[in-house]
Amino acid sequence: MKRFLKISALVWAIIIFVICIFAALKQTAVDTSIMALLPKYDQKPLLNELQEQQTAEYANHVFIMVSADNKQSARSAVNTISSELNVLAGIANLTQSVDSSSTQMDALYPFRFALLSDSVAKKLQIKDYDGPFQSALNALFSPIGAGKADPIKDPFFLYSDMLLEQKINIQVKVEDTLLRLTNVEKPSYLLVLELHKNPFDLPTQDRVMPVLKKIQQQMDEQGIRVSYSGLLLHAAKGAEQAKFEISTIGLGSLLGVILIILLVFRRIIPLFQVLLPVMVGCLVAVAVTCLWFDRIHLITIAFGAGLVGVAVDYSMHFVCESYLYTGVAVVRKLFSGLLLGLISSVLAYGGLALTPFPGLQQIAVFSATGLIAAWLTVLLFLPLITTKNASKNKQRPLPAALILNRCKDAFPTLDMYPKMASVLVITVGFISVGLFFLATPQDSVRLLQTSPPALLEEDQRVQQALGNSVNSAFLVVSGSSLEAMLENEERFRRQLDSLVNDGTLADYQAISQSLPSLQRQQQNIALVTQLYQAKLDAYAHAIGLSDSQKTLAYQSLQENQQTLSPETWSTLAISAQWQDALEPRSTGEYASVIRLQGHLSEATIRQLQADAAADNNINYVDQVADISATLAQYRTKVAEWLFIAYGIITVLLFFRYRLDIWRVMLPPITGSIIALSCAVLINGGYNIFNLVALMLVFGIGLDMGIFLQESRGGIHTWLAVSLSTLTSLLAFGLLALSQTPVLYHFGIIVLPGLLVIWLLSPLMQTSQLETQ
Amino acid sequence: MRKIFLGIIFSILSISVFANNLDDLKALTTTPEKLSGVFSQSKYLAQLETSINSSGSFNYIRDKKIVWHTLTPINSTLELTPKTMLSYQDGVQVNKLDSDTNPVVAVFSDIFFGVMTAQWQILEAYFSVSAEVSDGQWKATLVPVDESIGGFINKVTLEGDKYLQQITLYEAEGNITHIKFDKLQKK
Repeated sequence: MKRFLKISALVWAIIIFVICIFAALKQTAVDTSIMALLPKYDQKPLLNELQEQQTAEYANHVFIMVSADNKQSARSAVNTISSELNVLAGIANLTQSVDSSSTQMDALYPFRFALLSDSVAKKLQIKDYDGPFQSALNALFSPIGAGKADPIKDPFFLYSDMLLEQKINIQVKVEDTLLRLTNVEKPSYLLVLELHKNPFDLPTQDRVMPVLKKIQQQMDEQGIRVSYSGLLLHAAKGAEQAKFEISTIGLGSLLGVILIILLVFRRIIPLFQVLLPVMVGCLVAVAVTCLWFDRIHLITIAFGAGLVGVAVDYSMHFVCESYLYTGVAVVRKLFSGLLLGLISSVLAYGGLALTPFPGLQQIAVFSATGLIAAWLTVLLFLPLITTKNASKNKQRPLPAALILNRCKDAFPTLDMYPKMASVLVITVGFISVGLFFLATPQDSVRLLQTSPPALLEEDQRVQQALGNSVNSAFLVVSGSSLEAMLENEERFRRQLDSLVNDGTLADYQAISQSLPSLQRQQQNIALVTQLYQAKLDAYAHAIGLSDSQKTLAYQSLQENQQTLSPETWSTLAISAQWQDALEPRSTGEYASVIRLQGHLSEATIRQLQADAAADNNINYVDQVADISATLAQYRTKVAEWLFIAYGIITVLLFFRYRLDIWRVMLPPITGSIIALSCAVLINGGYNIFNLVALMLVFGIGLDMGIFLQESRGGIHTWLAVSLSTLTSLLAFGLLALSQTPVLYHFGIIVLPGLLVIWLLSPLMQTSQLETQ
Repeated sequence: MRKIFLGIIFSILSISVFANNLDDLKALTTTPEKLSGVFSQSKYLAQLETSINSSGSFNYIRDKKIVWHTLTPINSTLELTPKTMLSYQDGVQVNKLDSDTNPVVAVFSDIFFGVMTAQWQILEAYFSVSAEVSDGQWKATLVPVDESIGGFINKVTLEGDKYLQQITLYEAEGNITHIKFDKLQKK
């Protein structure tokens, strides 16, 4: 037996080694982006492509707003800051000034008859020639300079009308080459930093963040306010917060665990014996997950490590028992309990792999392999390294075990009161069903938000100054060719325009506003020709044009009938934000984004969705709503699996415990319900992370019940159960103190859940067996 | 961009100064709460080599609104607020521009309302201002330094005694607008 154990242990050590070597060679990237966890199967590939492009637009930029009490100091601050940002050359590009757009705008002059402003085009379409005629006279006599409005080449001021309708989406103007923000009271300027790598890249964070912080501090001393907006800030803050919490909560709980184990065993060795399987479990889990997936996500490691923490139970039982028996005897004594514990836990967590969510699949693979590895380590390694525990202590029970057992025995057990027990079972059953249907699920994207309010407020301040709307929704227009796409967009814009006119929608931006379809441009030229025929005589009369000048005007119209081609347009500055629309997407289609501006009310969203649904070429996309919807789907899936896992395990355990099964199942169920009620009471609802935490509570609680049941009240079992509960509470329960929402929602369940289970478990024991 | 210049013109109306340099001009600048008067305007159109004339009345309420009412040869009104620019034809609104969405209107209202409250430092962002005074008459010359304006305007000259009396606007395209004021009243 001993020899067999040794060979197996050697084989297992080799396997661990090989897996780790392979994983290290693969160099899987660690991902912290939430988007990576979201499923992609439910969207058209075209929409995914555009969504990613939209996200990247925000992700790789840092917007810097510099405000001061007067313009001079603000401008000189901008210059100081931009010279300091120069050290970032190579990892980021800085934009602080731009060329005046006016010169580029002149490039559109030859196309003035093809590119009419919407308002003029609409009037001409209904043959309202008097409107454009009157406003041309208006402009001519206004004290404002006539500008490009040449009474012969463009008597109806069509070009200036078109220019005035060109809108921008950020409230910035060029003031003496700097970008001045127009929507803020104090003189404020904008600088834009474009990162070469994604904001989660740690070297980028390490290089950029100190510079940004130094600038902010230095400017603050001079009374100049520097505000930042960009994913980089949030990503860096998240990393910093994680480091801080690991060093406080993490260190605190680790110290707590060490202290407790030292107090109970009064030796240092058991600490390593307890932690070795957990460490091997985590190592193998990380390695296998790296091999299995392209990228390993930080949340997987965080959750997964928690679930692997269940493995502490196995080692704790083993180490406690090893004080009474030798290794092989302990294996024999604990084997059935450990096996049942493993099967139930692997079933519970592994089942998540069946869901279509990449995030849950990773957690499932991580937890299941981690648990199996820890379990094997307990059975194969621990017998070899715990041999001295028993001999040194001459098989005397640990003092802590005796104290704990005395406390436990003071508890009444439930089977002394069968009626009360059945009432409890029924009540718990009703509450559990009721809770799931009555409590409000929370799927807000804020759950994933790790940034502190101050940082979010700073971000919002900059975005507001930029005039960026808070809504994440946009429309996607597609078409089989560029021309078809533009025509589709122009058709749909009629609906959007009517929404803008009746005030339902604030405004929007679309590519066809500056690059009309060829069809539309030709229509426009025909409309202008009609306007000339109808009104040029009256115009000539009003300002005294001679006949020859009139002829020249007609000539100019004849000679300037060229249309604006996408190629020409793409060389102009106005095309910058639409460049991606000019090339076919990976699906072969052409697609462009219509940006929606202003706040979108529920009614507006419904209207837009309905309009988009009625048009094959239009799609309504809302990233935030999509994330929320995904979280909701995850939540439902986890909830479903939680019920299924409970069901399967109940059936499984029924074969072993028959009618005594309630002694094992009732504590975790009750603990889960009470924990969930706490979360609902404190936070007004529950979410996906609460449910994943419930799986941990279920796993640990179930193990506790199984061991207590299997050991039939063994003197060290209660000690092991209590110790593993306490260490789990320290490791995961303390997360309730975390500032990071994901971790907080995890802790808020584990803390009350495990406490309740631990307190309830002694009540479930068989009174006869215990007195044996 | 052409509509920017209206702001400059109006802004000058609020200044009644005797100064031989900009600092004195700044020190002497006062802004009446309300001002009204009549104007006559002659616009030389370079392409036609001819001038078109118009006249009418104007009034403003400081920081709030400016109304420019052309009475002959056509009846049209231009109304400006810090955020919007409205034009009326025979009393009917024909056009509305918003500075929130329109960069041209944004620059325009910035300059215009900055000057109305005597914030010369804002005008200086767009122009270099020089002034000369002789015998109770003054003349200021504004030359754009900001290229976003320079593309449209070459020079503005302002002349006055107690009040601003004349504005001449030299556009880049060769058009010249000359405005004379009369019957100015603080009220």
